[in-house]
Amino acid sequence: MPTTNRQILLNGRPDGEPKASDFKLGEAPVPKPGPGQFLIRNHYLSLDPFQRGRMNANWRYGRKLEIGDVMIGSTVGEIIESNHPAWRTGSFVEGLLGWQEYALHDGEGGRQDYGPGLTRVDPKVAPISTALGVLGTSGETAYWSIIDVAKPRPGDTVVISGAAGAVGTIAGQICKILGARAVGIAGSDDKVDYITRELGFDAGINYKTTPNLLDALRQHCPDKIDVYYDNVGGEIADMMFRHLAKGARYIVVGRIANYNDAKPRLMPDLFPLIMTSRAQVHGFIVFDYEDRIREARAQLARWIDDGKIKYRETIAHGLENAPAAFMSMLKGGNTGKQLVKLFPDAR
Amino acid sequence: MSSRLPNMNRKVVMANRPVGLPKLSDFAIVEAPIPEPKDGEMLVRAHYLSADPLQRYRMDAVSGYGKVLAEGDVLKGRLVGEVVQSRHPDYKVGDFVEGMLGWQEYAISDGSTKRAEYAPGIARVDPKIAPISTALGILGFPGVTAYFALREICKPKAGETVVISSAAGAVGSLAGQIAKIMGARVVGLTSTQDKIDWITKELGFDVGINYRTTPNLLAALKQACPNKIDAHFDNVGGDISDTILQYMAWHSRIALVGNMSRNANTDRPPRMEYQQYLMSSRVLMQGFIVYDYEDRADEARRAIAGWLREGKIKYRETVVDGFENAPAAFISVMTGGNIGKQLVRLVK
Repeated sequence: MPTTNRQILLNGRPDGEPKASDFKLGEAPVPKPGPGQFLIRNHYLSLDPFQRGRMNANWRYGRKLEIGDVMIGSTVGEIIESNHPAWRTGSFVEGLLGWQEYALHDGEGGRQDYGPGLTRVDPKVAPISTALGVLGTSGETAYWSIIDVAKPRPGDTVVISGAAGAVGTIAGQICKILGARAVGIAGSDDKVDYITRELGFDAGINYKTTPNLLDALRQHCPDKIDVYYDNVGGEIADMMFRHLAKGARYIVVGRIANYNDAKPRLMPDLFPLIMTSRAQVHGFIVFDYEDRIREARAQLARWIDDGKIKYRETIAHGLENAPAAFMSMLKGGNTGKQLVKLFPDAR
Repeated sequence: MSSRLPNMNRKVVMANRPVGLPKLSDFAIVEAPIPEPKDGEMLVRAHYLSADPLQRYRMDAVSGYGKVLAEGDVLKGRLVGEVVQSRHPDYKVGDFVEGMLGWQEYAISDGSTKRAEYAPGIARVDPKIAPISTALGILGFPGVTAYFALREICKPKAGETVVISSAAGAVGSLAGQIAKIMGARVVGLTSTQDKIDWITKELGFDVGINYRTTPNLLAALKQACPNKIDAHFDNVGGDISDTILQYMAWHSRIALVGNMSRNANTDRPPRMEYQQYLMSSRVLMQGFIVYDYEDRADEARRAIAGWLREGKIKYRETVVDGFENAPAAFISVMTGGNIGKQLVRLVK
C-alpha cells in the first residue's frame, strides 16, 4: 500500500489569471478507511473552468475554497481498500474527490450542486476517463442543454462558442444529429479544422484571427442565429446579440471568459436587442438533470458506438502538472476534455 | 380652438433630433390643411393622444427596431378618435377607432388593421364598454402588454414573488394587479410616495419601494422579498435591473418589456454582465414585443374588461388638456411625471 497522498492545495487567491504560485503541491499520509469507508486511488483528474470560480473570495455558487484547501475537482478512480459491503475493491467510481491521488469515501451523498456523492463507472462500457468527459458532466451538460433547452429544429443555425472544448464539441455534434447547422467559434485554426473536418460542424470561426467577428457571423449565418450556445461569455457573447434571429434561444452554459474577473464585467446595454429579437436567454446548470443522468449517458454511449459522436481528450501527466494544465485550459490550450492522468499505470 | 383656422390640421413634428432627454425645443407644432379622404379612406378626428416612452426610440438616428423619424416628420404616436368623414365601406361617421395614426388632430386611415412594427393599422373602439380613452391604456396596448408579458413570460404561481419596475405606470400598474389576481406577492418599484401610496393602498401591491430615495435598493429588495424574486417584470432596464438580477430565485423569469431608464441617456450607460446570475440561478430572461400577441389581443381585452367590471382592477389616467401641451406631456412621461396612463385630451 502507498503511504503518501500528494495533493494540490489552493495557495493564494488569483488576481485575474491564476499563476503557478496560487497552487501548492502538498503531501499527506494516505488515509486508512474506517468502518463503512473505502479508499479510492484516483486515475484521472478533470480540469474544468468552474474550478477557477471557486478560487475567488466572493464565489457565490456552492462552497468556495479557503487557502490551504485541496483544489476542487472531479476524478475517476479505483477502490483499492474497502470496509463497505456495497463498494468493492476493484470497482471504479467518479466523484468530486479533489486534486489529489487518494481519497476516502463512505458512499453517501447526492450529486446535486457539486454534492459529495459518487457515481459508479463501468470500465467495460468505455475507457474510464470518459466518465469525466463525454459520458460525464461535460456530456450530460451538452445533452440536456441542447435536447431540453436549446431544442434546435432541423435547419436551425446554432452558434457554439468554446466549440472545441469538452462541452462544445459534444453539443455541436448533437445539433448535427438533430439536423441543425452548427457553427463553431474556437481559438485556433487547428481547433477549427478539428470541429469542421472531424466533427462535422458546418463552419468554424477562429475568433482570435477573424478581423471582424460580426462579419464572419453574417457570412456563416445568412439566416441569422437561432440558437447561441454560450460556453464563454464576454465580448464574443455581446456580438451574438447583433445577429440573433427573431425568437432565438441563447443558452448560458459557461462563461470561461469571466471566471478571472473579480467583479462582473461592464458591458454595453444590449438588452434592447434581446427585446427586439424576442430572444429567450436561459441560464443552464446540469445539476437540474441529475435524476435523468442515466438517460443522457445511455444515449451518448449509443451515439459513440454508432460513430455519430467523437470525442477527444487533452491529457497532462502527473498531479504535479495539474496547475499548469489548468492554466493552459483556461486559456484554451485544450481540445476536447482536459484531463490529468495521475499515475503512469492508470487505465 | 379659435387660434387656428377651422379647416387646418395641427401636427406635432420632431424639429430637432433630441440628445438624451427630449426638450420642448425638439418639437414643433405645424399646421396643414385637413386632408380629404379618398375612396376607401376615412378621416379621423383625434380625441386623445397617447404619450408613451416607446416614442422616444423613434427619435433616435438609429434604432434596432423599426423605422426612425427624420427631422420634420410627424411624431409616431397613438390616438383614439372619431370618424368624421368616411369613404370606407366598413366605417361610418361617428364610429370610434384607435391606432398609430401619428400625433395630429386629424388623420387619414385606409382601415388597415395591420398594427405590427408601428404600422398605422386601426382597431374599432366600442364606447359602450368603457370610456374611449381606455383604448389607449388599460384596454389598449399597455393592457395587452401587461397581460401577456406577465402571463406568458413571468408566469407567476400563487405565493411567488413578482417585482415590477415602473409600477405606477400604465403597464406596471396593471401587471401588478393581474399578478395579484394570480395569487402572487407583488413588489412595485416606483419614484414617489404618492405612487407608492396608490399602488399599495389602492391597487393592492404588497410592498412599494421608492428607488429614488431608498439608500440601498438591494437591501430593500431583500427585506421586501424574503424568498427572493421569482419573476421580474422589467420596464426600466439599467442599474435597477442589474440590482434585481442579483437577487433572483432559482428558475425565476425576467420579462424584458421596456428600457425606460435609457430614454434620458444618449450614451446608454453600460450594464453589468448578467450571465453569471442567469446561470447560477437558472433564470429565463425573455424579450417581449406586444405585436407578437396582436392576434390574441382580444383575449387580453376581454379578461381585463371582465376584471374591471368585477372591480378587481383599477386604473388611473394622467390627462393634460390641449394639443399644444402634447410635447410637455411626453417629456413628463420620460421623467415619471405620470401616474397610470398619460394622455393628451383634445376634445372635451
